[in-house]
Amino acid sequence: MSLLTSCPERDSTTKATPGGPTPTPQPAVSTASVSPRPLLPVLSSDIPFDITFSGDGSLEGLQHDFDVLSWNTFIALNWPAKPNGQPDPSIQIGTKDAPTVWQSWKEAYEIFLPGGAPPSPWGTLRTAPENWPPACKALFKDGMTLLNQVGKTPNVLNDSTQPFKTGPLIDQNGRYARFEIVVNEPMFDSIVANKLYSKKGQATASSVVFPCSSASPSPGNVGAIMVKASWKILSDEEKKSGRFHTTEAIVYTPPSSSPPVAEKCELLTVGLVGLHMVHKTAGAPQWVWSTFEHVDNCPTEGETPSKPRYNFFSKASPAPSPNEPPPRPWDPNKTEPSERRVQIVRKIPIEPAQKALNDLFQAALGKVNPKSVWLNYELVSTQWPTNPAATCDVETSAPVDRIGTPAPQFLGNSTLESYIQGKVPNVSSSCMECHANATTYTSARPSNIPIFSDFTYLLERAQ
Amino acid sequence: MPVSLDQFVSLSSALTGVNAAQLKPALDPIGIANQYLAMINSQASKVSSTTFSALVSTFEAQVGTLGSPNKAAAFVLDDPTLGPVARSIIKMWLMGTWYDPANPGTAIQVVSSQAYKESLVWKVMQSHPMGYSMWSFGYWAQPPPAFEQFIQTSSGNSANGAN
Repeated sequence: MSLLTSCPERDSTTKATPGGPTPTPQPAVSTASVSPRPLLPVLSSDIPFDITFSGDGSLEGLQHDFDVLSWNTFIALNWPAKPNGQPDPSIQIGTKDAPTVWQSWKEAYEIFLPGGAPPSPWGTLRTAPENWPPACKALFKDGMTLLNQVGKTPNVLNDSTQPFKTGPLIDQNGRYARFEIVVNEPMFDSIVANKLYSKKGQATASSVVFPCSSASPSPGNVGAIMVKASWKILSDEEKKSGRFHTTEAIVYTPPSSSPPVAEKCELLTVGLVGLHMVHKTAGAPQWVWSTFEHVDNCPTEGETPSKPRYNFFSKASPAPSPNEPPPRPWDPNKTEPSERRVQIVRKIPIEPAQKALNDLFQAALGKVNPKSVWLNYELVSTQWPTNPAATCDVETSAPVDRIGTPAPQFLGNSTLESYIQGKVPNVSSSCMECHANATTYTSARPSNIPIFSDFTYLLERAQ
Repeated sequence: MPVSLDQFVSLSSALTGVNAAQLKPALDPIGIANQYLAMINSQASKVSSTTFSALVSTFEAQVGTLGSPNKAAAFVLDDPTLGPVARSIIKMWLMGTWYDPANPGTAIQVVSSQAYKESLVWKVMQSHPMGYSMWSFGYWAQPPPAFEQFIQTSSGNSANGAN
């Protein structure tokens, strides 16, 4: 791996556990440095196992360390991938836009199969769903991206879309955003080993505990990671802009009778607009919740919209009320008129500390390629437990403070929690508060009492 | 001199019997102690800065004189001027609500939405706020964790999981 310059922040030898013993503080940058300019971060395809302690153990210092973990994870997961999904060490991230590591991971629809059938082994090339119509199958080439969710949660038209049954996200071109959820190999292996891919398997599970990343024993193990991505369908102008990480995807709209929506498959170019990365580590068994966005998504509430154009915000007036779902009926096959396009604003501003870190990593990315698409993505923030569970088994080791008193208290992505941003407990978006309620399939057990699913709602999709 | 956060937390710990580290954790993304201090310092509390400062300075002086925070807390609670304010502080930590010291049955305001869910009364009950649970689905089918896991006392039990 080529290094841009040395950076102590990438040193993974010193780890801290929030609330645990305090390691010897390490300076964030070399004190011998004459230049006041901070050193650029190392860009690496190695997924970090946990935070690297760099500060004084204060809330702000640890937030910085978790934000660095987020950026390093973002770099590693978006590294150009070889056909087998492994990072390609011969290419630096951003040299050209290419399929990423996480895009080869298992999509939810590949895991939770009809009849509760076992999923195909890790590394099997992604194929079209068996129950798809022939016209859709004809478009699909093995291994390609399939976007079959019109919301962060499945089944947009007769169930919830974004959290709390809010609504779909319609961009300023009038097209519906699309979503996918993938998991990495350790998480997939855990699902398979414990037969959590089926209702029947879940009914016999006594607990759900996904593996934590850990630096020890050497050389370390990467634990469970989930990725949720939001994509927008790009116009010809946007395709040429070079501002998006793009992929060719089959965009599938499921049929519905009420409201009437036709089943449809389209082969389209989509651009990444939002990315959640959720990583379970030994120091943060309640997972580390990192969220990134495309810089053109929306302005921050109360600030003057300074960009010529936004993905999900119109500068024209009259504009719809901000952060309101579009009125029904919803038809993802349509190109909606301007009055039905959503008007999204960021309710909680990106803090100066995150902005400074974004500048630093974007500078490193820009040094690889001044036109890198990754220059157009920014960290919103990272949510982490200030009172982490003592072990990877959160249910057992954190009996009272299950969610570990997260910092920051609230976190949302304008494309994934568009309509629930804010600062009201149990109402506004907080990754850990919400996901602490996640369970196995709700009718799987003979007693009809599902069990805690270790902060993932994915298991509810079992058939 | 305005009352500092550390002074307020020390007084609060003695009044409530809850460890200062639980009232004001080292890593504190919520900042409930800050909110409570701001509540007392606001005009809405109906407590003058002179009275509040007197409460804290008397408490601190009595810790030195009587040799124990518990005895100093009992001293200020018995004081006809300072006692009502001290009792309102106890109620604020327990209920998340500020009560008028001159009319102890009159709630002036819930300090904040955070104060509602962070009220110590829920932990004393080994339960959770109505409308807000930090536990997982199905918890109601199990006995609650032990009291010691909810509350760290100022006399030093070692709670696990309380924050």
